Amino acid sequence: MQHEDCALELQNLERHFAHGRVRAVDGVSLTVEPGEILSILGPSGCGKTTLMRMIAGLEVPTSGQIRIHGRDVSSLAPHERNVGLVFQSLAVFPHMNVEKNVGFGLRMRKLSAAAIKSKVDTVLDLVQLPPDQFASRWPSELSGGQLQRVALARTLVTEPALVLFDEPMAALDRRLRDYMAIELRAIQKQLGIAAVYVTHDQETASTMSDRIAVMNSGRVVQVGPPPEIYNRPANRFVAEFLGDTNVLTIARLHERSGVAQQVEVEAGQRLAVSADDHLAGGQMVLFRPGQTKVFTDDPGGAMQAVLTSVSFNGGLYHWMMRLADGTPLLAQSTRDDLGGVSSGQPIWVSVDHEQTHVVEQ
Amino acid sequence: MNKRMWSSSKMVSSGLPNPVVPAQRPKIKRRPVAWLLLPAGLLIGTLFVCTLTVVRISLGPRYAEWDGWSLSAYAEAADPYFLSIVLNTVWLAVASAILAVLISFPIALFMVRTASNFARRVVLIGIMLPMVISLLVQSFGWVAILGPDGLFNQIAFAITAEPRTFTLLFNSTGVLLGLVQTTIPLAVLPIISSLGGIPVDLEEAASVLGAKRLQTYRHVILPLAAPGIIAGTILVFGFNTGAFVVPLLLGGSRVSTIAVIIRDQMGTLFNWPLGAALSVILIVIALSMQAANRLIGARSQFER
Repeated sequence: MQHEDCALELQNLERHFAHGRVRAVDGVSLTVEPGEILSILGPSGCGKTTLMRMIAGLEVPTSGQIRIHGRDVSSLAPHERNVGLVFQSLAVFPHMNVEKNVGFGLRMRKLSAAAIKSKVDTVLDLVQLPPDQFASRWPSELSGGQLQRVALARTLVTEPALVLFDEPMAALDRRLRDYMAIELRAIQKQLGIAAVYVTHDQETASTMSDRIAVMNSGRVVQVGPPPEIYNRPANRFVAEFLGDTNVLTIARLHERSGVAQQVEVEAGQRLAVSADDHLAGGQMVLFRPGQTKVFTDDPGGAMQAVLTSVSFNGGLYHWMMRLADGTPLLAQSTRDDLGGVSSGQPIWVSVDHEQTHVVEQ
Repeated sequence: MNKRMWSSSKMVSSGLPNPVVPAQRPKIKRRPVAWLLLPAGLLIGTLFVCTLTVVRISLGPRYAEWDGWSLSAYAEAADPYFLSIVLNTVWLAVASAILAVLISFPIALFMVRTASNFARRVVLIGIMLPMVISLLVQSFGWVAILGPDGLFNQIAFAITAEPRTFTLLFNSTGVLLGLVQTTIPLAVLPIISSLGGIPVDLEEAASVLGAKRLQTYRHVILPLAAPGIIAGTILVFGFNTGAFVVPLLLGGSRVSTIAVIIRDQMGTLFNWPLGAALSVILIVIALSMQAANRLIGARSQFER
């Protein structure tokens, strides 16, 4: 099967180390549509960097195929692939000023000096580094955010078929990172370049991407748009990686009714889950802390717990609690639903069956 | 997450129960550290006095070095014979510096790039050997290899049955070989340190941006390794302008260097002012390269 219209297509890509004993990338198949920005999200050591390096040609795949706009580039050298890569370290050349850095790719392609000048000026304007002000600056005179823009400009100016980002914003502080993520996405959409953004930061991934591919132990665990990944995680790993999650192990099915089914969790409490979920046993119920409701009195059908701590952070109240068997739960709300309750006192917590999600162990 | 919790609880426990902690941390006094330089300072100071003595002697008349003033020694040194030896010394130093750096660059590149620690260690030991074996011993080794009946000529004889094919001893070729071999460590080490300091990312970035292998070397690696290459060149040049043992043994009477004739003037002929004048010329040559680098380097340095 072959998609001529895909910006990037990976087919069963593998990379082994230590004579096959370590599979850094273990059978990854992915596509990136033209103009799309796909994040590859995973913890460090999940193989996302190796995957990205193979796409750029800096690492040789053990097996599998890499196609860029239908062209098989698997055996091409990096300079033959027309792929852009913005490094985590940014890799701005310290011995060249901004203009020379940005024009590097064009000089290697032997463009005329006039053409280089005009392209460099255009792209510097695009990344909001006015050429008259920044062209002759040295990297040592620039801030982290400005270096970031230089690295981006240097990559975009060669008009690559695909741009790869290797967590280039990891070193920036939170606020600047959020700002750059939005701006980067705006530029990417403006130019219509397909992009792959590799990161371990789920917030940046969600802000930036059209789709997220979650990786773990060399494999892609789930691919989908950010809300889908967040709300319908394929398993516990995905759920926990994308933010705080409550996890309860299902002990048995208790009762089935129209749109919901009652299950008993290992702590002994009962909980309603969607009737669409197929229950097989050994499964878990996941739900987000923000989708819980907490009560000071039993409203009926809620789980009883003991409050262990309260904090207020980021505009939300956070209540930590424990079920009878010690299973921890987290609830969040903008309102102080438990005003006056102190640690050690009993409370009740419930979650709508629509908001729960059953996954395999 | 654990770490964060630990550090915040730590902050609370150390901040709360002890409100009388002074707001200012006790300051460690920064004493002047000049006395750390004392032992070296004494030695170098002595060297400075010695050098001044040489300058003084070069400006005195023969046999009355401390009493009068005269430029006759410099006039003598301007003799075409001495000038040719000065030029020859400079030529040997320049040629050996260039060759040593050309040979050292690939070695340094290998040292920086190889994934095998074993290979790196073996090569490093190989490079450092000339520094631990006496120059005299190394030079005699070269004599045994380059001589009329040395290793090279015996191999040539075995192949062509022609005796004494190569004349490598007592000419510039032999001296140059010896000078290059004995100073390779001086060139390799600074190049290793500058190559090792170039992040792999820069090279990979160049490649992804469309630079072919050679373009990457020309536009990224060589410019960034330049400080080490220049340092290696200056070290070898400076060291070989003063070469004595190697030219004495491998050059015989035909290839002389400044250091050899200084010794002749001072030791054999007791012409101290001329020996001293030649010494001053040697010092000026050795320092001129350093000064030239400072002048050029001041303009083109990107590391601020």
